[in-house]
Amino acid sequence: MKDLHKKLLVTIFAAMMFALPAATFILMPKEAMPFAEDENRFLSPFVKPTGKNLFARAENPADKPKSFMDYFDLWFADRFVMRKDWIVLNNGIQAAAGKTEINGVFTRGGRMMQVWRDYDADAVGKVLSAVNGFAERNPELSCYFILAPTSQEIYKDTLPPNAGAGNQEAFIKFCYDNMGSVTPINAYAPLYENRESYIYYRTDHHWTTFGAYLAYYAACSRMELTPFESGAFNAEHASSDFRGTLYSKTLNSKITPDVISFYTLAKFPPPNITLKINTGAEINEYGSLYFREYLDKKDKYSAFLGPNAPITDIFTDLENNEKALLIFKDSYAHSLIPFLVNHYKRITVLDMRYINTDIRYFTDLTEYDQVLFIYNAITFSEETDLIKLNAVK
Amino acid sequence: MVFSSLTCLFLFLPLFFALYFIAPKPLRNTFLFLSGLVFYAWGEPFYVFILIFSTLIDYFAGLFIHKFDDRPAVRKIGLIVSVVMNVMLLGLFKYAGFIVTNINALLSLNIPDPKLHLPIGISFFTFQTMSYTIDVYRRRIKVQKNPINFGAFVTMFPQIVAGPIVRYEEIEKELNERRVSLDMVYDGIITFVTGLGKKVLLANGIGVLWDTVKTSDFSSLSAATAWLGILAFTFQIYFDFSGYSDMAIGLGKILGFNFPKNFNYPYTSRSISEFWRRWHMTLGNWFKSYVYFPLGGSRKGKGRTVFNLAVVWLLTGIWHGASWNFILWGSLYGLAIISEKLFLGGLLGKLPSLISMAYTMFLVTLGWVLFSLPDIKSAGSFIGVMFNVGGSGAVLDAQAAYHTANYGIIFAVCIFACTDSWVRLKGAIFKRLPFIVNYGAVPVTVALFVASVSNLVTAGYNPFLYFNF
Repeated sequence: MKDLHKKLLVTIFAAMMFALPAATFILMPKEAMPFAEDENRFLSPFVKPTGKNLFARAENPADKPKSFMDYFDLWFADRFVMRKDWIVLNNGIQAAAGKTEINGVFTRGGRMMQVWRDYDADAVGKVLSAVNGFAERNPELSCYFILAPTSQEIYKDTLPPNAGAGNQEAFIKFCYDNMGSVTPINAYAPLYENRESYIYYRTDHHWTTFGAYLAYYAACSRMELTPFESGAFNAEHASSDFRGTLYSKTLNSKITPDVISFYTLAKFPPPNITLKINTGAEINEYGSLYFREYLDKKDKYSAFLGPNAPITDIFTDLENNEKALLIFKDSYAHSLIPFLVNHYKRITVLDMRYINTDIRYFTDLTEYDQVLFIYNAITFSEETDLIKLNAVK
Repeated sequence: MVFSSLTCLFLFLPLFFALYFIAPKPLRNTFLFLSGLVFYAWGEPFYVFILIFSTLIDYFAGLFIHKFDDRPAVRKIGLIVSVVMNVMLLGLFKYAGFIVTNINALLSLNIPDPKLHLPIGISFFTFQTMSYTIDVYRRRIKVQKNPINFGAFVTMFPQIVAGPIVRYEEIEKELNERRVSLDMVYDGIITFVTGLGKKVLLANGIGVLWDTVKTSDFSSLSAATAWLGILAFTFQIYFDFSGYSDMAIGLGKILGFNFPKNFNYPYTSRSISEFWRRWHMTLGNWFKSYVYFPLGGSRKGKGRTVFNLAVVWLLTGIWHGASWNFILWGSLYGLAIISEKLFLGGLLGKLPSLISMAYTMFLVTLGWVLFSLPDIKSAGSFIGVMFNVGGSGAVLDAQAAYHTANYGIIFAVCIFACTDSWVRLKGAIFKRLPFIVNYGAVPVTVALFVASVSNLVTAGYNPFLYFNF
């Protein structure tokens, strides 16, 4: 047939141009804002045209959408047929073209690592002085700080050459050197010594339960607690197909999924727990630190104490123990707190990202003996919410 | 709307082509006109009225000039109205802020800046419609009495937002009567997909590097990083703009139009004058036909030629944007072209082509610094860093090595793709094994399209550089 290749190309394109949008509409989820498990985010909703948004215009193409058309473009792109496969293909092409960093993630040596380059010493200084000020104004509370490195730091020898990765060891030292009456806890050394063990998830930015255990062990010696040896715990493999936040950024399924473990005291009777979570809207009570329903979802790390909440109050039935601990934290604390509950009558956990009032409205500081700050280096380098502690005079 | 969006590729285009080819021929121009307005309004919902206004004025100006064909003084009014109106639209929406700011600074006044944003494509469609009235006045073309056909000429979506600047005479015949053949559709698809790939895979891909470099603190940059950054922009702007032109030309072909070529491998030029004969050719031709030649071109002696060139290059600079950067940028090109015309040209012709190409690219690359940075001061300090003044002091550093490792492959592809090697290679194979080229084109084009779409779905970085002109 004459010009067969021309007919072939024209037919293929005509087919693609009609089949792809048709499939998009046929397979489109019915919900207004479906949750994309793989990408770990809600897809953009359909925004109805109004007299106002039809004529709105974002000044800069990079700005947030303003107009109906911008929202429509996002809505359509988010629901485009086989969205995940397109992203996997694109990231594969990027990697093949030599890109070592995709969507803020290095994938090297069988693990994904969140990229971190730099911090603003002035901004961090403001946060540190808020922390110091809080400690000075409450001299009856002993304050401690765990600033944990992330996997990029511990496995920096595997990073691509000249990647310009930030030095978290130096960053942690900078922070610790600027702490007044707050006692720094060195989590870096035990994590680095155990770097051959499974201390960070391969597909998520958190430390594993064992990584958290190492930090707990280091904290005990400074906080006048007698730590339980690792042999005292029974490690339950709660899930072995965890694909975390870094997977969501790259959708690289070549990296082995992670194992989530729960450590429960075995040689000693574990305390009974009452957990009160204040979500801001309501207070719910639970009998366990673990939310096993999350093991069947994408966001499996939330099995530890549930998703981030403003106030989490934990009570134990430990006898002859009246000690109370107040924690300011990011999500790194979630897998560490289960170790600490074996030492306290009460632990109150505050996530300052979700608290905008003076904390004394809901906590009586005189009820506590100790205060512990738990952050990883990356979130702490970008932290601004602790500045709210300046309001606690 | 932009071509490189999923909304355009998979909603607008299929819908458009389905209706367009179903529509009986006499209705097709109506559809082309209306769909162009929708396409434009998607990105510019309010200013679409400016486009309609400008179209109407030029349509009636054309009729007016035609009607008073035997009264030279009267028909001139039609021309003046059209030109003044177009220039005023440009002046108001593109230059008012710049002019007011400078008057305020100069005379210590406080005239408020109207703060109008630039309507997308205004520099393209005003030039395009002006070419029509001027040519009707010059009796080069027949007047278009059908408002729909004229409207279709101005607003048809392939070229409305970023050119090529199609002059009326170039598509006069096709506006009234055009045929679509399998050959044209096939060529159109390949041209369109090539343009899409240039824009999405190359321009967007390498543009990320320039964005990283230009937003860093210049004093922390090594000379090598600065060079890598501006070379990245050099490729970004070429593949961005020529990619857009290719997409426009490709879509035009599918509709049965032959739009003029806009780029002819400009980065292989051996002089600045040659560069501008190969870069944004439709703009160069426009200035030649409507400014340079009417001023007398090069036929009125050396002094007058220099003056004419100076005028054209000042205007070219200003056309690209309302800021001193562009004025300086255009003036420097003018200076280079005048020098080449007076004495440098002969010398360049005698040099080995590698040296004359290096000379051209060196100047062009330096020019892009002025073009892409917001003010002359930052452009100056960036050029300083390129020559190791005011940067980190290092010629080469780890950052430059990291960028080279990350962008080396895409740089190599860019260098290859901005020459005609690909076309020559294809031609050589075709001579012996036409079968391979014919059937190879099918999977290659599909793969290029799929790769581009995957990039668009992942999205993130997708600006169009020439939208601001």
